[in-house]
Amino acid sequence: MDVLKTIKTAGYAAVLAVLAGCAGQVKEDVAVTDAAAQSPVETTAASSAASTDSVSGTSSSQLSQSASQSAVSGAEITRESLKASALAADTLFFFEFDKSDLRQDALDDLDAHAKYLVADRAARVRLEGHADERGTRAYNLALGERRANAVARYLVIQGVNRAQIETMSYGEERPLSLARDESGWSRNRRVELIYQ
Amino acid sequence: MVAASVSLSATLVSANSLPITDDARGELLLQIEQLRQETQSLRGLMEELSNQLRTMQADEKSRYLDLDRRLGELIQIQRDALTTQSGNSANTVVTAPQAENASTATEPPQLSAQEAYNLAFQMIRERQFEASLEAMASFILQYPDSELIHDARFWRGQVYDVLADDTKAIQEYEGLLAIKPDYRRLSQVQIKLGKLYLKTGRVEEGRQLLNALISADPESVEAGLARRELEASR
Amino acid sequence: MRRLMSYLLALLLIAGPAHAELVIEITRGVENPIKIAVVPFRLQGSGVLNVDLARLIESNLERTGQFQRVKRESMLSLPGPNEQLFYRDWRAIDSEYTVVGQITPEGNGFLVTYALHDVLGQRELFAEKVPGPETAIRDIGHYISDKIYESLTGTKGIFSTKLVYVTVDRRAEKDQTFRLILADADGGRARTIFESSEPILSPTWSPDGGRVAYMSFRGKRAGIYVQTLATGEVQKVTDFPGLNSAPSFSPDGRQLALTLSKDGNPEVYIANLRTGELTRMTDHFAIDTEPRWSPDGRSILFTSSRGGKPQLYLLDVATRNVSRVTFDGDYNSNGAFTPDGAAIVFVHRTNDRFHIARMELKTRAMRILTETDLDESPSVAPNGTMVIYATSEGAKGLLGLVSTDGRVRVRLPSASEQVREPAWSPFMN
Repeated sequence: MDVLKTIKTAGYAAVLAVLAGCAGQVKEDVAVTDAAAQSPVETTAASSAASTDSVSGTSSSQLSQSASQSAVSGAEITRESLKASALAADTLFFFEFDKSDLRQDALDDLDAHAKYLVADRAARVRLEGHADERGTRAYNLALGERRANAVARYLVIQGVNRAQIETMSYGEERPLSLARDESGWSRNRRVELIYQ
Repeated sequence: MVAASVSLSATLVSANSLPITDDARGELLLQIEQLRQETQSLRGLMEELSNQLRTMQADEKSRYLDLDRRLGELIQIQRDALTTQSGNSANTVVTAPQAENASTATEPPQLSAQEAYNLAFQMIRERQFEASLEAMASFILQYPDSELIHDARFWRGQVYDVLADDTKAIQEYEGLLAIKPDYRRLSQVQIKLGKLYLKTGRVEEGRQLLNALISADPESVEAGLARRELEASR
Repeated sequence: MRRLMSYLLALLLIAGPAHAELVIEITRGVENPIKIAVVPFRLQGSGVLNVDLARLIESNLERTGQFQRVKRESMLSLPGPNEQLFYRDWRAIDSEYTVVGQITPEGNGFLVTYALHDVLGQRELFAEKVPGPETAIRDIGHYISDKIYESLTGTKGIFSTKLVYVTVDRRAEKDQTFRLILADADGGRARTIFESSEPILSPTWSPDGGRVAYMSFRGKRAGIYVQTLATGEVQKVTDFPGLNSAPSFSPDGRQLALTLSKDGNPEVYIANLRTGELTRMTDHFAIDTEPRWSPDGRSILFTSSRGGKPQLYLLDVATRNVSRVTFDGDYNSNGAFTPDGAAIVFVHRTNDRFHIARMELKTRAMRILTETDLDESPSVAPNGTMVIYATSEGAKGLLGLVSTDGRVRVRLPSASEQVREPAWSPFMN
């Protein structure tokens, strides 16, 4: 949130300089922002983001109501930096046998993804749940879905819109590893997070 | 429930008046998950316990019926025994195996072997199994010359069998066979012993004993029982 | 749901027998199998037949584990059905029964004449003439096998029944070809009836044997489809967001029990195939899946993790009462009924291995049938004698057969690297 404040006071030139720095992706994001202005869905997304901000003490009225150029660009910058850290974060989340609860070590990475998805309401993510080959296929299909849902729920709790998330399950049908022992199975019990 | 927790989280997100941090929400989600798992495992436990209860009740019933049958046998055998005794010895007073036995037995001084035996036996009939074991044991010590000590050992074996103390039952029966290889209820003892061997995992001994019974007299009732036990052990 | 779109599968029309047939290896049979000699059937005239009928019949019989073939090399003579049989010769080579036959070209097809002899009783048990077109020669072989099997064991044969199963060719994690295969019960005449780069799961037969329901993906979306075998027509039953899995036909063939998670959790539903109407049958935040209709249609067996671990439960269709069926072990799933409805077979984990087990519903006595590992997808033959299931060996996935009493075990190795999800058809008549 400090970032936002700083950027607001920073002025055009600096913003542009940064934007120029991250070439290709910027173009896409700008387009998305334009679309957001027209879409009612995106508007609600933006206001809920604003209310999150108000919780942490930043003045929300300026952000949500004034559609000033600098604010948009400010958000842009935040998005970029958040996106960068989201992309750097792990996209594979592993589980125990017949379990669908998140492991503690997944949370930091999921937080990074959540922050980015909150900042960029246009971003979409697909969560693919998987199981290892042990147990029966239809049951594992359900287990894979539960794992994907566990990740989805966590992201939603962190402020991501459910509409940004698509979940699906492949059960045991798409193993990462073909090893028929715990080394392979533990890699296959996973959720893959894929940006669309 | 999922729907519930999702809508719960939605409420949390929009409730901007509540100072709930992301961490707090995450913590809440985690707790809901934990509660669910707890509920599930409790449910599983409850299902298993009620199943155990059901099977135990069924077992109980069949065990009671079995006990009832055995006691019926006991009474019958005792009557037979008394009839035989009365025919054999003239000076033994034959009393009906009823309450008088117990009342006369309350005066300890000098009981005849038969009286002492009857007293101990009465305890079995009244299902005072622990007491009957002691009574039979002291009978054996007090009247070592009585022929009835073999019967006493036999009944001790039976009582241990009823109490499901397999080891002790086996000891009694084995002891009896060692001392009195021509005991009149030999085949009954062999059946019981064979059954107990099978039950306690001494499968070879059990089979040998039962097979010996069968080949000794293939047409006998005991041979039939032995066959049934062998069949059931498979 | 109402827009039940249908389309013809081009695949079916161009389907070829590209698949190597399953091979059969008996790993354990009954103690005293019936010894039977099937004399090579003579082809009258000058034609050539690419099916060895005698071989087909003896393999069929031997695969049940209840029969043992008398080797051809040991036969002292190879008589036809119209010649006298010297019983002494057959007794000399330990044959208890002897089958003789011949094939006579007739019109566009054949007339197969055969007879079954009781060697010890020194008499002909029966003889029959079976006509059929050339394309039906294997059907005739299966028919004869059924007749012999039934007359010697008293149980209806299953050689004319069919199997569906799934094969997978994997080139990379996301580059795989899944095929739904239809084959004779002996693995012969295998042909692809549906092919996809996405997983195909849970194929299951309609009670009349005319349709197969399965789960597959269209794009990233899972759906339940019902395919009519004769026409290749495909009907979409559901493709809701989330799970659409584990279909099972009702005994009248009008409804499909299946798993959907559209309301948030995997729950068992009943779909009316004509109206598309859906009825939710379970309601629990845990997993409820793998529904399987009982033969009397009154209950549905399903897997649920509501007790913390996957266990089998019975759902009363009328009252929706649910009662737990399995209590041994911490993983029991994927149940299926025997045709008489008296027992179930299912996947049971013991000592960290997954086996097929059988349980009598009345006494709740359970028995483990298989010795292989990672066994799953049990499907019972319509005469109740055998269970086909998927198992694994090294990296391979293959099918296995086990008799419902566990005494006979048969491996069905295949040329495909991965064979799975077998489903045994009902009697086709």
